[in-house]
Amino acid sequence: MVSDMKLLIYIYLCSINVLSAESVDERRFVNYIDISFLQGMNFEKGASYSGGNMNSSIGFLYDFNENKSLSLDYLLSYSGPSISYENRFFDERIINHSAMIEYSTRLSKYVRLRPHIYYGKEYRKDSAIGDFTDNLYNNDSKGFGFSMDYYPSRDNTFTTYMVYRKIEFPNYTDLLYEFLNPGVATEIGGGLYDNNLYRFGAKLMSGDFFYSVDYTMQRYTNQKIVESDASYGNDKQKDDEVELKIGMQHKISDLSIYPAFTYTVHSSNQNFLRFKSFTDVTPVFIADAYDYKELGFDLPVYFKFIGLDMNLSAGFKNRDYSKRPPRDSENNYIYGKKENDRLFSFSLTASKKINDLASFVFYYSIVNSSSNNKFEYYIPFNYTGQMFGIGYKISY
Amino acid sequence: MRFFYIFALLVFLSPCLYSEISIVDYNGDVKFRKNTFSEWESVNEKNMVIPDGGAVKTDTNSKAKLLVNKSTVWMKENTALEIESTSEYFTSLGLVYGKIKASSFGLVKNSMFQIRTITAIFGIRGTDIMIVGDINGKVLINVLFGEVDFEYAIPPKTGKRSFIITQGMYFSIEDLEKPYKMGLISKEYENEILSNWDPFISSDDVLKNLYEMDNRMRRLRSFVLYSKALNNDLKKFIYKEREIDFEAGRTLKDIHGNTVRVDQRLLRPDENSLELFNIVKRKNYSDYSYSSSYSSGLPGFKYNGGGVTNRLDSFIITFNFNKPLPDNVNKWSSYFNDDFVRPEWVTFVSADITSANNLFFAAKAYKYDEQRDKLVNNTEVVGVTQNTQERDNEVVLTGVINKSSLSDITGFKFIADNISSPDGRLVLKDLNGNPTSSQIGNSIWGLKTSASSDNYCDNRFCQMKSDQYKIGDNSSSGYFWFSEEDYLISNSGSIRERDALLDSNKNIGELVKDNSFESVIYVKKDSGGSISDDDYFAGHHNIDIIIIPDIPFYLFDKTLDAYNRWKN
Amino acid sequence: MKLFLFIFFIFSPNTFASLEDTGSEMVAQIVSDPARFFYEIKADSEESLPVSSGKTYTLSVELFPTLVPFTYANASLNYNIYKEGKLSANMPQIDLMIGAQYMFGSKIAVNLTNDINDANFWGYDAGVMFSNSFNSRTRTFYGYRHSFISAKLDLKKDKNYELLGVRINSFDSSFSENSIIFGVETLKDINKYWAMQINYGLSNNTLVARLSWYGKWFELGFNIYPEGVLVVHPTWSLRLGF
Repeated sequence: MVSDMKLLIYIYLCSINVLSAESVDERRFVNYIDISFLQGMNFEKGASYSGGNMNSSIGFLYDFNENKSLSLDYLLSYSGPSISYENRFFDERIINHSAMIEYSTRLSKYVRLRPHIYYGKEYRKDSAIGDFTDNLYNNDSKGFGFSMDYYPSRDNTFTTYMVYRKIEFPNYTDLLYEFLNPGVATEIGGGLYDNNLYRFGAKLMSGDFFYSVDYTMQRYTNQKIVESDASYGNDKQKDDEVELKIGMQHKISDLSIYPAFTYTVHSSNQNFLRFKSFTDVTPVFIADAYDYKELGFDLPVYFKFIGLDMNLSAGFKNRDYSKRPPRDSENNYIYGKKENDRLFSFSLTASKKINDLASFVFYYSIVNSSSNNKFEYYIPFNYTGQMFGIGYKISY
Repeated sequence: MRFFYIFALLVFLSPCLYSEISIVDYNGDVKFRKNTFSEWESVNEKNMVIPDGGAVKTDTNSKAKLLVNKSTVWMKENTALEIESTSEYFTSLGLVYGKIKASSFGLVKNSMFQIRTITAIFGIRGTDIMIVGDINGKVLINVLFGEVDFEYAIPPKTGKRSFIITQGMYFSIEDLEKPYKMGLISKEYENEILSNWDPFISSDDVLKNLYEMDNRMRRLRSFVLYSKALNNDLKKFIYKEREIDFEAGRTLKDIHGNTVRVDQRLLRPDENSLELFNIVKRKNYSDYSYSSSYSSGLPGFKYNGGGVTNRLDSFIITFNFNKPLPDNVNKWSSYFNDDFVRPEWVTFVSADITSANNLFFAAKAYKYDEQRDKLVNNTEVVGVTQNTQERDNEVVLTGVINKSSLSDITGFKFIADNISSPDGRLVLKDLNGNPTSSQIGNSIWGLKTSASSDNYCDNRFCQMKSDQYKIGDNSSSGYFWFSEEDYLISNSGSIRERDALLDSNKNIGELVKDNSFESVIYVKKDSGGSISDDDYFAGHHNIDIIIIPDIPFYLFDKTLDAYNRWKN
Repeated sequence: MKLFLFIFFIFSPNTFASLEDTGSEMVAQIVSDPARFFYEIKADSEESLPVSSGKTYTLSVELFPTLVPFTYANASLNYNIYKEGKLSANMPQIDLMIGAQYMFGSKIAVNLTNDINDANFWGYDAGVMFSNSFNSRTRTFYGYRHSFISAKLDLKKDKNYELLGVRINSFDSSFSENSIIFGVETLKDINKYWAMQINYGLSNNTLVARLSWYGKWFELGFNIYPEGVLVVHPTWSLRLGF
């Protein structure tokens, strides 16, 4: 019996050898990797600390035929201490990895459909010590999306899409609110910030210009609204945001510029109770504290200079809160005014190609943040920070 | 059964036993001959088999495509190829002159596929290659993918006779008398090999393969960019505004078996203060008499409260310093290292905060003593001059207050009523530090006496302590007993064994995550100088707190100097 | 050399704060999880490049910083079991990797000083690597590796040991990681390669970016551990292909 099995296995293996064959000319599969890392020093208000980031992605694409293909992308990124406002605060570290699989099908010469599924995990840590597991703000997101591209002519593309993400914070609770809001029974298993995110958008690219509008809704599954009597109401938190963007791309010889204006309107039915301390018995209620309008402008410029690929980027954001007053340095509200935050940023990246794929990168950025909010125990609002860094990147 | 296998063997292996080379496609004037002695004939049909010993040649503007086993050989114009051997285990072709491309796959183990020229023998191993040769012995090979075993047909005078030409390299022999050349394959040759060599392909379609690959790469890059952009756009919706320095939380079981959620926060009530608090929630606090076998039967450790739902306890430490703390946490290390920085006072407050109007608390406070240059806990903390040795004993605060008065305890806003003859009542102090008439709920302070008892567990991290306190500094006010049972527990609620923990294979980070500290506090009545099991404050039975070391651990590197300076 | 020093300088945490503060913060980080720190040193010696074209296996020994100064004797073997395109055009190259490390200096330290009762640092790793060619000179590779390290230091109990104000205690812990690896290798010249890769640990979220330049005999590189105590580790290895 055993020797018969061995013989069968041998026949099977030979068959594979005979039956499978594919020339390089018949490859329908490509892959892609890009990796970049940057490490540098941050300087802000007399403090200096090292920090950096790493970004990498692997992509695969398989063509079933000239109209249908399947793409997979895995993204892995690390964000260390930096002066950037994207982190929640300067010392935070974030690891994010996600995978997206998209199926693309061309229905006609003019129309293409692209549904996708997505899964991602994010880990956040507040200091150098400790690890990334089981932290409060770790979150998972999974979902799907659907895009339709319409190509009416060579210079015009119209894209419309929808995206759904279920975002979960499995470790987050806030028992402080339960103590400060009698009668509230919070879950002890986490999930206070869990929400369903829906995003719809449309984008028109016409010649050198593009116009886009995006509408995002977040519907929280557990988080309730704080009422003026310091208790939780029955309604759950709902956030909405509309973003309009207009931009262009223009090339003059080796110089490319991509200016873009963004206007965002954010509204939320959530209010805010300001507690100065754990034992503060006179919290201050601010209704609609998270509503704001924001105007932004970005100007990335690419050009070559003495053999270096230069990327210069200037940006500006002005955010005006509709109802939220600013606070003084003692955490007291200044009524009669509304909080206004401004952020200027400038960055310069010089890349030197060292071979077909790789570049050595010098990086400098400066960020100036200013606000009429002077309460800066936890998040600085008025500062100027700089970062110098060097790094590598590859892509093809 | 065996006959079936032999039959299957013959069917499946027959291609393995016998193989041949055939012209599967051609264009223009392609000729063949069956052996060295036969005449050249024109190829007039596809899939024509050429036997071993035969040859194929192409004329100007002619191309051919040959297939042997699973390998393909393309011939360009003005090329002549001899068919030496075409078995499964040994295929040998001879390039007389011209240009060929070979793509070989599916070679079985120990098989050989070789192409010979006048000067060289190339053993192809799963590759895509291009060879250009002439009758004078010049040869150029470009190895696109895979490896090629090279061997000189005529051994050279010096140097190696054979070696491996690896992927991405070219190799050429211009003159047998001169050394060979080797280097990186050029982009032009690479594109030429990747282009389509099929005989009937039009000139427009020659580079179609390359264009298709480029198109795929372009689409893939575009997809990756789209994926990154979408991630970036959605990232800001996950951001939450920060209102505290550090946060931590954990769900575990306590020593009674209740499921517990602990939230820990560090925040700054004002620019000079730090407040670290643990809030402990139990959806169901089960009834018990004694926490563990170690406290079972010990007087002063009996719980009289029964089961409770949605129970909340807390432990709050508040530090106040003489100088404002830096906003930036990264500067704390140098702040604590500053010799001019010192804590002014510290309070440790434990409280059952389930009921907003009836908070049962127990607290200790420390105040900076300039003479001793350290924080001390004696009657000075309640504003009573420490003018006797007895008054240098520990002071504890306890009572039942409402939520609004808790900040008076944590914020060190209390003072003894009637400082000259302190009866134990606590009142608010005014801005000048003098007593006011506002009593802080039903709260009292006590001065420790000499009566106490300590019990330690054998091989486990736990201890039971009971201390008698005189209410105020006035014997007529009476006494109470302060009992505390402390445990180091795992996340499943079991008391840690001393030896097992100290000898464990775990690092500090793991120990922090796996352990926490549970303290159950009772305030009991005094019965003739002994501790009784009756609660001093009727209806208020215990404070059951759990402290997790997460935030102190996160701040280890930033507050190390503070710890070293003030650890005693 | 100057560029190297500049790079090392700029990557040191908190360069412009007090150096003593910086040093004690680093020691505190090591003390909080010593096995993780020694894992980072050991990880420098782990082979994570595919077997080069024309070779069947690669043997590597890391000289710096693993062997010198940390006295980690180490060896890694990367064996090719399947060449790219063997059965079909899309089939990647498959290599198996295995390695071991042992700190012989720890035993010497035990014999030399009375303060140490026992010390033992050892580890191993094993994995699989796939690689396929993007073009004739560029390959992408991806794989998986399991790593393990055991770190033990037993100090005399009757003494207190401190380094830069940080109490050093005995420890006996281990660290295990399962990493995914992906990167790109480019052929620069005959027998000269350059590679860049990311290793991401799925069990403990360890992250390292590696840059390598290697040829017939040696490999030079930088390993960047953004969450590590020492962020940048320059490396030098003997790397032989057969």
